Amino acid sequence: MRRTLIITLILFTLYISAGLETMIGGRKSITDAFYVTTVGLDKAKDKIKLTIVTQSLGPEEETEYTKKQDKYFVTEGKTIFEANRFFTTFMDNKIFWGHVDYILISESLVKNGLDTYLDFFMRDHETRLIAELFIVKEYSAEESIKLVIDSGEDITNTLHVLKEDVGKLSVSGCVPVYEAFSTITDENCGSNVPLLQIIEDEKEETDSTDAKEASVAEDNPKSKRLVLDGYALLDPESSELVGFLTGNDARGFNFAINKIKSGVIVVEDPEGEDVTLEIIKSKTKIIPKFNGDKLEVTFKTKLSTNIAEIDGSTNLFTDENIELLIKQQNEMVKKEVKNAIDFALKHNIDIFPISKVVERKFPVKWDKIKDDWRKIFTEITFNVEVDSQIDRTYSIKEPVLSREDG
Amino acid sequence: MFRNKGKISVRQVMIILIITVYTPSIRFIARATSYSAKQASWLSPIIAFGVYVIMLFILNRFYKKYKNKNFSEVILDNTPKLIGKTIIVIYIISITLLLVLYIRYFGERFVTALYPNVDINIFIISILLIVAFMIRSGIVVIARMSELMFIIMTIIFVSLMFIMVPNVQLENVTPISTLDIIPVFKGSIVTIALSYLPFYFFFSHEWSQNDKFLKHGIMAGLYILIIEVLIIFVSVGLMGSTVISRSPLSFFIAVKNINLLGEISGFESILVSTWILTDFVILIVYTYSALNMIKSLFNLGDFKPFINIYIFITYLLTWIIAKNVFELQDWGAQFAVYMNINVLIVIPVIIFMIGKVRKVV
Repeated sequence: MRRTLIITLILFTLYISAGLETMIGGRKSITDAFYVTTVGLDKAKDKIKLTIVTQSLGPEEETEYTKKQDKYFVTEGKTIFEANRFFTTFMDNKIFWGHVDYILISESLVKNGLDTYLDFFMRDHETRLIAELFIVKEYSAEESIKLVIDSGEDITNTLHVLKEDVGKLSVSGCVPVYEAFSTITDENCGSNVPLLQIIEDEKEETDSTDAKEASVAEDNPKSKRLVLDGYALLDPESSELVGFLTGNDARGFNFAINKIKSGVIVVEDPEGEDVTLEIIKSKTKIIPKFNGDKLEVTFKTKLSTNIAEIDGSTNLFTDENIELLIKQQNEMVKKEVKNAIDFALKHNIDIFPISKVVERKFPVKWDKIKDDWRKIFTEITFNVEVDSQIDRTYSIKEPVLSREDG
Repeated sequence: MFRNKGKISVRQVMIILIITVYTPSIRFIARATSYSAKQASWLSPIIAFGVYVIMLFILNRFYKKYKNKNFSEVILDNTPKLIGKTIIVIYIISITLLLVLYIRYFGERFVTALYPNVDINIFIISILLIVAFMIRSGIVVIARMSELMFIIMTIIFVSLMFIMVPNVQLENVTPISTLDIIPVFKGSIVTIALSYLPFYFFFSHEWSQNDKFLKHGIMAGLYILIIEVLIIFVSVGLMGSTVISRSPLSFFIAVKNINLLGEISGFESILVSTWILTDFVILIVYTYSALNMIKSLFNLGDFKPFINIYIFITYLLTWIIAKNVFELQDWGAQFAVYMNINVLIVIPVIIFMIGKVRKVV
């Protein structure tokens, strides 16, 4: 009898703990839930506008496959939590935040600081801290979400592809919520958040005589694309937006912080024709050195590239020509890193962060100087050294343009 | 085999110790140590291991000298009766408060991390009812159950570590310098406070006698050292000390954010399952130990008639101890840790010293 009672109690406890009983609030049926996958945050007067992109999963008829439907919803509230609760006034399904992959925040919202808006995502029990953060330049987060969804694409998938391919050019990066939180709470280093931009495609002037083609071009307005390019940089103390690093300057920043995966460097052969180099490997060491109280920091970059395309006809595979290409790529990388340093010095924010390197290498010294770091940072002497090599080319050696003799 | 019928082996006691240290370790040691020692917090358990080894030698003396006697009898043998009884009362109060803390945390853990809109009583009453029934089976059944749970716990912990350790960012757990010595010592206070072995000496009359106490004790200590270092190392290494020191469920947060191969997540559900199992062991063992203390204090033949009333009192205290989780956390950090150090380290050392002076041990 006693054993039966014990077993019954254990089963009962497991039953309710597993969320199968109605007294457990918060349980959700998989088919009755909207899974938030992408979130957009915008400013709306004195409120926050919250846009959520949801995915619902439901069994397709007579198959085991699941059907995905993307929808987006917009609401406003004084806080993110309040705005989230307002969804329940009109949505026909329950919202689940445990699948949030991307958080888009508009530039206008971050101008006064990012920290306030991270609290919800850090605190909420459903959200995961590995969701990636993006700041949307000029446009609102809602606009960028609408742009992609209205064109019939899946914004979460688009962002996923952008994130996966970010290393191909290495002009931006990925920053999960917890990493942004860690840097924001460090008052000595500036935070960086990847930047999304909406680019309008320029209408090309064409001399096409095809009347039909011309009329189609006139009917279509300028198309817009969502592009992952650059970083938004935030102030260490207030987490306010201080500026952007885009294009090759952002790549220079990535060289400095060791986030280069690949990339393209276009140099010129002796005849002035383009030679495209593909970055294969890059490693940068930040070496701090104290001369008395004066701090000198050297960025030492080692770089390997392969020749990916030759537009001229010159034979490049001589010591002299390879040396010429190496010299050019060294100069280009050096310039990009220097541009990132100039940005940091201009805004007096340690974006690399050098403070961490100094702390790691000189922990005792760091303890004495950390309170004056922002002042010390502006007085640092920076050196950039690039040591690169070109390792190989691919399937053919001589360029296509070189002609056989006779 | 027959000689030890109705008793548990020292190995089983050490398994119980490991489980009962594992459950609070998951909950708070990463947060508590990284709050003081930041990136160097993973070194804190080494200090605690040193203290544990010293305690192990002291307890070994008691174990060898007082065969088939429990810690209450050791206390009464080494101190005047009134003082001895007072010390036992202190132990009863301490273990009851600790038990109450763990019961409340058991419920709070669910409503914080998984079911925020659920009445916490559902979890608390369920577990207490099971404890009330299971405890009647005796320590042998509890120890065997613990062995099984130990295997499950180890498999799950090792699996999680396999996934988590390769993703640790070394810059989050370095640099280590002389500046970290004091913070590491400060951080080690909470790990020292988990040296629960003296509590289990209150039912040491139910341990079988052998000469492997030190060997099993050191093995258990090393096991605890490894799991504590790993819990802190991966938590801080993955999320950084800033995030971990602010999170009430630090290791849970780190596990929740595992994303294996960019696709598979939700590993926290596995962790929660070990939590329930190991929490159950800690609650049942503490209750068993507390009831043994009461039995010794009042010279009772059996504690079974007191099981229900004791558990009911602990349930009431669960609500009296703190109005909300913030009070509970403050209570744990500002009182329970130091209470533990006093009853688990200071008092046994004093009794040992008295015994030495009196040449009893």
